[in-house]
Amino acid sequence: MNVAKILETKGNNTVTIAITALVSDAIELLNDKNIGAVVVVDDKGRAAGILSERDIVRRLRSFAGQLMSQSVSTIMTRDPVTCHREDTVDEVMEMMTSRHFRHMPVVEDGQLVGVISIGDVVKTKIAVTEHEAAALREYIAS
Amino acid sequence: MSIANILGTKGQEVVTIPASAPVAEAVELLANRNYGAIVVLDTEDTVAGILSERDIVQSLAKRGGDMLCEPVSAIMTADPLTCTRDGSVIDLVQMMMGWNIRHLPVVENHTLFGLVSMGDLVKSIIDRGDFDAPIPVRAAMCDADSAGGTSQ
Repeated sequence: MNVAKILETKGNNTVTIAITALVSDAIELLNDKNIGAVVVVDDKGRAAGILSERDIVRRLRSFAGQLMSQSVSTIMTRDPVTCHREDTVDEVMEMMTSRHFRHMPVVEDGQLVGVISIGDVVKTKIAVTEHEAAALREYIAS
Repeated sequence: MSIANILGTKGQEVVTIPASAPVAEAVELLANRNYGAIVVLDTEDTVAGILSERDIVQSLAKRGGDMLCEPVSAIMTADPLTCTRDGSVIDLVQMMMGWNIRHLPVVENHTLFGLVSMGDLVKSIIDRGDFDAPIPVRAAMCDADSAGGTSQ
């Protein structure tokens, strides 16, 4: 089971925001879609960064009332760790857990092709495990 | 593997905030401790709610920066789902996925024992390789036995 399979299951509806957008736009987007992070893309469609709930909450104090009018590029996490379609579910789950992030852009030839969350990864892992258990159950019963 | 083991590994310290405290104070705590959520206590020190990064961002979207001066109780998730120390990790992961939540206060008889996150649970599963020896498989083997399999 690999990242390509996860993208296939969840659909390729990657939520992105332009690097020139404001933090207030990003907050609205996260709220509308009920998601925890959005990939920030430059004018060539490359993943320039990722902006998460955590990035926003962490900056709320230091920017006081000015946070909403900042550019997303000011507070995003630059050059995020990315993964590829052929990476396995185990590899990305291990990576996300040990490095404490919840979202990873999926990149192919420098272009963004999707984003996966720890939720997507765990859901897939559970589904695979249950499928294998069902197969084993069938084998034992036969 | 149970929730008690995970609390044992990550330490028993639970960061809480009173329901009457301003949101700004909660934001400060989350930032300083690098936590994704904090348990909210009422005046009797029982769990009134949970305040997550998601609650804060959604409230920012709806009310703007003024919400920082409001009490935590105005934007928290009240009466959150909780678990107990003998809860099964795999079952709770599935419950959290189903409800789309990432944190569970550990509560027994109105006493708060800790807070576990999806990250804590997934980490314990990876560390112990529990995904590779899933409970359903063992259940399947028992079923096969009781369904008239040989004693071997």
